Amino acid sequence: MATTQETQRSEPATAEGKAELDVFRYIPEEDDEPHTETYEIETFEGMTVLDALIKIRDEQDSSLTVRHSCRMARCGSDAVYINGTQRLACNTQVSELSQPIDVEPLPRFDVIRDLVVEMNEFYDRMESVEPWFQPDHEPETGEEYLQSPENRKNIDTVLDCIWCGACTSSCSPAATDSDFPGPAALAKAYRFYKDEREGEETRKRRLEMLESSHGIYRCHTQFNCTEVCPKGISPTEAIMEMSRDAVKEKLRFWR
Amino acid sequence: MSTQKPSKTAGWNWFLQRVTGVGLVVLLGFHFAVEHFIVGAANVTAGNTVERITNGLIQGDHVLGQITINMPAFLYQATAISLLGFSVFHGMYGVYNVLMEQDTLRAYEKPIKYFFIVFSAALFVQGILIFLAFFEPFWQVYDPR
Amino acid sequence: MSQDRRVDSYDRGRIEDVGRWKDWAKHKPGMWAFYLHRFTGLVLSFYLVMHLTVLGTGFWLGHTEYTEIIHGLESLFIVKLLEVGLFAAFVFHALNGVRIVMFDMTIGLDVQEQLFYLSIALSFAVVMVGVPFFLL
Repeated sequence: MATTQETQRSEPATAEGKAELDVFRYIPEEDDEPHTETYEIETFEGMTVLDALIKIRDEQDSSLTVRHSCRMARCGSDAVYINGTQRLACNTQVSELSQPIDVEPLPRFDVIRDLVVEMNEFYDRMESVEPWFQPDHEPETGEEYLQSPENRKNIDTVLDCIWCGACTSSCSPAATDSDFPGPAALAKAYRFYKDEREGEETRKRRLEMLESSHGIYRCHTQFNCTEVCPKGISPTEAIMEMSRDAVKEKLRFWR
Repeated sequence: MSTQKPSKTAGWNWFLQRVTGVGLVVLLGFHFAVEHFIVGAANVTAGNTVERITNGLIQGDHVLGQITINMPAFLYQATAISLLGFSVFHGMYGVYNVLMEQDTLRAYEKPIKYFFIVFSAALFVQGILIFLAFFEPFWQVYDPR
Repeated sequence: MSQDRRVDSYDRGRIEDVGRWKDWAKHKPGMWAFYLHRFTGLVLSFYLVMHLTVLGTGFWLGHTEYTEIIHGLESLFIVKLLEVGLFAAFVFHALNGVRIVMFDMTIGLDVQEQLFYLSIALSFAVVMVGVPFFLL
């Protein structure tokens, strides 16, 4: 299998094996304003946008900066804005895109350099929902925190979140309202909200914490986050379920 | 990113926004049906408006031809008042939230909030005054002829 | 908080926040539903204020004047046309509002695109039925 891969890669590029990339460039030490630079590269079968960017860096312009680590859609460090959509560069095939391929850093984040954006604001949002396990009671001595398989099913998808920031970049209320935790953080809150091991007290507290017109009620069901999530998570669904539960809780007094 | 400020009223307001919204689908639909589909906007006069409000008598001769619906007066008045209240709340709370979504306007959160409360109240009072002006003892205040 | 940790970064400005109009063609149906819902909502709110103001002053001037104001406005074709627009705004806002309330009850989240197209199609049909009532 490795050999077929090798032969395909070493094959000379045909005319259709070329790709043109318009890449957003900004180096704070050199540029006053960002600009777009066009690169033409030879493609190979299975080439991802990240491969293309690395190839540009290796062969044409060593100053091009892009954040990447695992190259297999697990670490979430290479979310960029490709042809008008937030995607993981390592998870997007060059052959599937219309050319020239427009590559920009994630919108609504500040740019540090080229395709690298400042993520601290995003991490602050994630932290604001207290994304850690807070059980009401410790289990009896010698026992583990056991979760039933049925309960685990609820959070199967939201657990896949890789903190890439694509959804928060796509969400317009998250951009204009800095108190809104944004889709990723709310999906993370849902992951703990749905975890029955935490107990009733924490569950209630988590819901109350998010209950604000700048919390769960700020969601406008644009579904942008659901569309761009590289892991197929639907933060919209999570937020809607929590706001539904929160209102149900309020209406309980006459039940 | 500041810390979350939990709110007790946000949930209720959000819920009321939904309730009034669903209510308005019916009430505003009814309002359009009466004013534009049965009576026809061009045929609206002070006289037939008074008939509708005080007697619940909807009479029209528009595209659909002669139509007469005699509703209980209190029912028509109830739809009118709830249409007023629902639309003022739904509209003003909606616009307020559009503004509060902008970080740049959050600095003026308090003044904007009080402006909207006062403005909504003024709109509601204005609507009530219009409503009352359809009844004889009041319309003479405005129209002595 | 993040402000002090922020390294020398390029702030791309507010236009980034409001919307990526450059990429409007890439906007998904859910986003269009949001834009339309917000636009029609603002239009209807503005109309509500104008409606109450014009009606109020009209009535306080007296019954004859009230009737004259209405007939004066309705004799203008542009007013009739704008009323069709208002009706369209209401119908879409109402139908899409029902769609949103469904989402709040966690119904139909998987078919949100189809529901948006349905609300557009139904709005169009209802407005077409309404046109003769407004223009005749």
